[in-house]
Amino acid sequence: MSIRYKTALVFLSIGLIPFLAVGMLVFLDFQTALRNNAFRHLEAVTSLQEERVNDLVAVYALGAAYVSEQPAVRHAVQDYLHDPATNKDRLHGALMTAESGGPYAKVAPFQELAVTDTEGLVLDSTDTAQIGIRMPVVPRSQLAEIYRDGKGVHLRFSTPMAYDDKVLAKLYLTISAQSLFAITSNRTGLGESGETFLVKRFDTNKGIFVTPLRFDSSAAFSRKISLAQANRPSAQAVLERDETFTSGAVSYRNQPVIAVTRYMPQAGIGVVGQIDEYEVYGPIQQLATQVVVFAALLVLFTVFVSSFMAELFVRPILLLAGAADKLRHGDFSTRAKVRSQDELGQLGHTFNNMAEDLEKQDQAKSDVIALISHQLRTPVTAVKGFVSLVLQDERHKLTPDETKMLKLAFDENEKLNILITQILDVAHADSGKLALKEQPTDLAKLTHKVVHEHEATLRLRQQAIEFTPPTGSFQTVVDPEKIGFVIGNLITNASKYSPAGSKVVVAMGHSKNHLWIKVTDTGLGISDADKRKLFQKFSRIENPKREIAEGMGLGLYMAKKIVDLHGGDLTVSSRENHGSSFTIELPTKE
Amino acid sequence: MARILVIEDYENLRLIYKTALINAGYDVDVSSDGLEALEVVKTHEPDLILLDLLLPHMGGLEFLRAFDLTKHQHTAVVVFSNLYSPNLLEEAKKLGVKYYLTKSDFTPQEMIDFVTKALAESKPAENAGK
Repeated sequence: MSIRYKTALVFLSIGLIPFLAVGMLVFLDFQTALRNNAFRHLEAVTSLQEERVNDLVAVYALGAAYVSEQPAVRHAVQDYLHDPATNKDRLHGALMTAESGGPYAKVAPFQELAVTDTEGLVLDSTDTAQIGIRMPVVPRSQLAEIYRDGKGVHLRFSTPMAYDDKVLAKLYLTISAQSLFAITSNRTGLGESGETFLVKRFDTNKGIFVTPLRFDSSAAFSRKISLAQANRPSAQAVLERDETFTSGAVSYRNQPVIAVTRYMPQAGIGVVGQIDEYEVYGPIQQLATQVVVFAALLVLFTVFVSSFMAELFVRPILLLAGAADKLRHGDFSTRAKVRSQDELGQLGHTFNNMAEDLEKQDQAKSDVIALISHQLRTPVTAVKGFVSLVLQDERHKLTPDETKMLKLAFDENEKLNILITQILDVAHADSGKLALKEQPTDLAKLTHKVVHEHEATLRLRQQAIEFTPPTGSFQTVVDPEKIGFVIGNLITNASKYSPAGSKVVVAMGHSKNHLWIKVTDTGLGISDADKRKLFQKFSRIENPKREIAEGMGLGLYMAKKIVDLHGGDLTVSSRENHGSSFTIELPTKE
Repeated sequence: MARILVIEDYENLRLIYKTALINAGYDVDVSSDGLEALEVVKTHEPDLILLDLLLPHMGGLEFLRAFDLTKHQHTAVVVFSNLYSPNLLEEAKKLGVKYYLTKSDFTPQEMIDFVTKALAESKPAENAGK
C-alpha cells in the first residue's frame, strides 16, 4: 500500500472516528431528550384534558341537582307523584319553564329535561317523544349516558329527587356533546399529528370513540375499538388503564405513536393523548441528515488534506527514487531536486553529495584510463612505424620468413592498437566524449559487408552465418564505422558462445519509425542473472571457449553506448541452453 | 620539393617520420617542442607542419597561436596526435587547422600519402608547377 493511501487512512481515522463517536453519542442523547420531552409534554396536556372533562361532567351533574332543587320543579314533581292525572300539565309546564327560562338554563343551556320514576321510566319530558322510555339508572348526581341520535351526540346527566330522605323520582338533564368536543378539539401544543380524544366501553369486546378524531371527524360515537390489541392506546384507555407508551404503540391510523392514557372513573371515560413518533423524532432525522452531510464533507476535506500531506512526503521520495535509479544506470550527473528544509531535504542533500562524489570518481577513472591509453599508444605507434619502414624498405631484400614474421608482428601490434582504441572509446563514452561521425548510410549494405567480413572466421569454427539482404530502403543516418562495430560485435559474440556446426542468423526489417537488425544464435544462452550485467563495463559471461582478443568485456558495453548515442536501443532475449537473440533498433533519419 | 616540419617529442616517432619523409623525397626539419619549432620556422618556412599536441615547454596549440597561420597562408598544418579530444579539435579548427589525425591509425606510408594529398589541396597551383 502506498504512502498516499496510508496517509489518507490515518487522516480518515483521526477525523472520522471521533466525529462518528461524538455524533453517535449526541444522536442517542438527543433521541432520549426528544422522547422524554415529548412524553412529558403529552402527559401534561392529557392530564389537563382529563381535568377539563371532569370539570365539565361535574358542572352538569351539579347543574342537574340544582335544577331538581328549584321549588317550582320540586313541588310540581311531588304533586304529580301524588296525583298524576291532575298535575300532569303543571309538571310539564314547570319542566318547560326550567329548560327555557330557569335560572340555570340562563348560565348553561341544556336540550332536554325529563323526570322518571326510580326505575328510570320517563314520566314527563320537555321532549314529549321521550315519555314512556326507560333511562339508564345511576345512584348519584352524575353522567348517566352518552348517546347519539339524529341530531348528534348528547350527554345525559341524572340526579335523584328525595322527599323526606326518600328518593321518589329522578331528574335527567341532557346537553349537546359539543362542549365536550370543544375540549378535545383544542390541539394547542400538539403539533401536526398530536391529539387528545375520549373513549368509553361499547360492549364486552369493543370500545367506542366519544369525540371526533383529528383525522376522522365522524368517529364520535360511531367508530369502534377492538379491545384485543395491547399496543393500541385507545383500547388500553377503554380497559381503564393509566398507561404510558414510549415506544411500540400504534395509533388508529396504524402510525407508530408515543401515547398517554388516563381513565376517569366518575365519568367512565378514558382520555388518550398521542403524537406520531415521526413528528417527535423529526428533528433527529434532520440531525441525522446533517451528520451524514457533514461526515461526507469531512471525508472530502480529509482526502484533500491527506493527499496534500502525502504529496509533501511522497514527492521528494519519488524524486529521490528517480534520481537513484538514474544513478544506478550510470548517469552520475543526476541530482535530486529536493529542497525542503527537513529530514527529506537532508536526505536529498546527502544523496546529491554522494552522486557528486561518484561523478568525480568516475570522471577521475575515465581520465586515468584516457591518459594511460594515450601513453600506451605512443610506443605502439612507434612499433607500427618501424615495422612498416622495414617492410617497405626496398633496398634490403627480406627473406619470405622474415617478411611473414614482421607482418605477424605488425598484426599483433595492430590488435594491441585496437584494444587501446576501444579502452579510449569507453573512457570517452563515459565522459560523454564519444563522437559520432554520422553520415547517410544504407544499413542493408553495411550489414551485408559486416556479415561478409565474418564469414571466414565462422567457417574456421565450422559455423555458418545466414543473411538474406532485404528488399526496400534501409537508408538512414548513422556512424557506419561504429554501427558496423556493433553488428560485428554481436556476430562475434554469437559465434563465440555457440558450438561448432551451429548457425548464426542475421535478419533485419522495418518497424514504425525504426530499422531493426537481429542477430540470433543457438548457443549457450544467457542466464537471468547474467542478463542484468550483460551491458556493463568489463563484464564477460563465463565461457570455457573464451578467447583473448575480444576478452576485455567491453564489446557489449560499447555496443550499447553506441546504439544509445544514435537514439536507438539494444535489447536481448535469451533462454539458457537454447540461444540468444540481440536486436539493434535505430531510428530512421533523413 | 616541399619542406615539411615535424614537431614530435617522442624521439623514435620523430625518427620514423623523418626517415619516411626523406625517403619520399621531402625536405624535412624536425623539432621536439613548440619553442624549438618557433626557432626553426624563422629560417625555414615550411609548406606543411606535422604537429603533435602534447609537447614539453610549449604545446602544439600554443605553438599554433604563436606561429599564427594568418601570417603563413601557404603553410598547411596536419595535427598528428594520439590524443583524441573534440574540444582540442574545435580549438585547432579555430586556429586554422584543416587536418586532424590519430597517429596510431597510420603507417608511415599512409602518412606520406596523406601529406602528399594535403599539400596538393593546400597549394594546387604551386605543386602543379613543379
